[in-house]
Amino acid sequence: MRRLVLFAALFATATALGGESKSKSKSPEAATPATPAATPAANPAAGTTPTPDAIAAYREAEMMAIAKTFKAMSMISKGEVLRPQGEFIGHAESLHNLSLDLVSQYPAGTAHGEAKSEASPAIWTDAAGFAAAAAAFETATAQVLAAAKISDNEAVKTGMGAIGQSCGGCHEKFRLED
Amino acid sequence: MLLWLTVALAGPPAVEPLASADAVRGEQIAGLGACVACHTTAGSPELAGGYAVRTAYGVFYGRNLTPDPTGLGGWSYADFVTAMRLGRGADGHALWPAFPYASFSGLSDRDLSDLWAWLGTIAPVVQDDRPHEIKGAYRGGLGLWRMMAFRPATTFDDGLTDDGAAIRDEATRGRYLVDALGHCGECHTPRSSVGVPKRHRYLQGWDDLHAPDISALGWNTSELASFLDDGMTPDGDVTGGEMFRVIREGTSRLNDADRRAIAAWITALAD
Repeated sequence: MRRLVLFAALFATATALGGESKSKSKSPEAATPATPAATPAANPAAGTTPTPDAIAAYREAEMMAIAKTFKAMSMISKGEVLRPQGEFIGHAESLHNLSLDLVSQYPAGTAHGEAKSEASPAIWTDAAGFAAAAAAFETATAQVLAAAKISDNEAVKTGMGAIGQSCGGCHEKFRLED
Repeated sequence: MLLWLTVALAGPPAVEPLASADAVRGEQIAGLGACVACHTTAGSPELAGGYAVRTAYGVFYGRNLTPDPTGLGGWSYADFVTAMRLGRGADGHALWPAFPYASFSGLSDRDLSDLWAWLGTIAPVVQDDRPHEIKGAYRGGLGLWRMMAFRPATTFDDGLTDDGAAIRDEATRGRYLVDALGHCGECHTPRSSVGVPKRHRYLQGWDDLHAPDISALGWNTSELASFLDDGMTPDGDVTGGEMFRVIREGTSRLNDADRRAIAAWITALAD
């Protein structure tokens, strides 16, 4: 039970971080923190569908939460700050959860030019490549989480490198740089 | 102007590779020089050429650099140095600056020797060079471009100690890695419509290539050095685009001191 509460709190924090970032990145208003049990697609206003801009803004909010969580983990892993092991594990859990179910957030009609998004058309023309990149990210975050739980610091270091490679590798092909 | 004329009229420099030439080090040099990026086509053998460099001036095809006669098999080391420092092919014809000799012109004897040694280890591949497809307006403009934009380097100091084992002077090392080998300005310094770099806007970004202004990043030296290692910005974002490839195949393979030298040189620009 305690783990569930901790997880929910950390997930909420990670999501909220995307809106409270002190950096100059343009983030939308903080997404309403959701508990893990919430139905993803539920919409209280019957008959309305999310606009392409909303879909793009939500996934950008998640991407910013990913960046901040990864940054926090990186600082701990590099010894730039000293934090309890449990805190690192909490971040790793958040990051892994953010890595799940990415592909479904890119429905047709939400590419750069169709929505306020940096999503490259290559996401749809090379759907297999995109799915593979998303899967690589999911795997990399799972590996760091597993390594952190058993305090395997060497595996965490290597795993952090693998996460970074999966971020950059996907961005290289599927995110447009403006 | 006189120096340019002297250099232009001179034959290839009578040079030999250094006795210390090291093919293993040459491969690392090639990583930052990004030779593979323009001289290898995906799915084809390494350095066999054919890769299309698409620019506003036309499509330029990287040539075959393998030791086969259709590549550099008939070239001497002196020919190689002439190409890299003076931008001329073995038969003397001027080369198009899609090949960034304006930057490579400053490469040290040590780095050129090592590169040549590494090139000699590549498997020979029979592949004729593909002619460039230059847009009509620019076809006759190479001589003019060279006169306006190309100054052959006159110093070749890589900032290392004589034995190449350590950095002798960090500022010299940083400038060398940025300007000569890393050729960062080829993407990050904006150009006029006829391709002449705007030197007064050094590293201030070239929108055509989505290469950002790096002259005033607002990052400190450690943050930039770290970025050149793993591509992560101080915000936790990981860069994509061409720069991720530059990091993956080039700057991440440098040692920490070299990355730091690059970072120190670039962050000092903001001062």
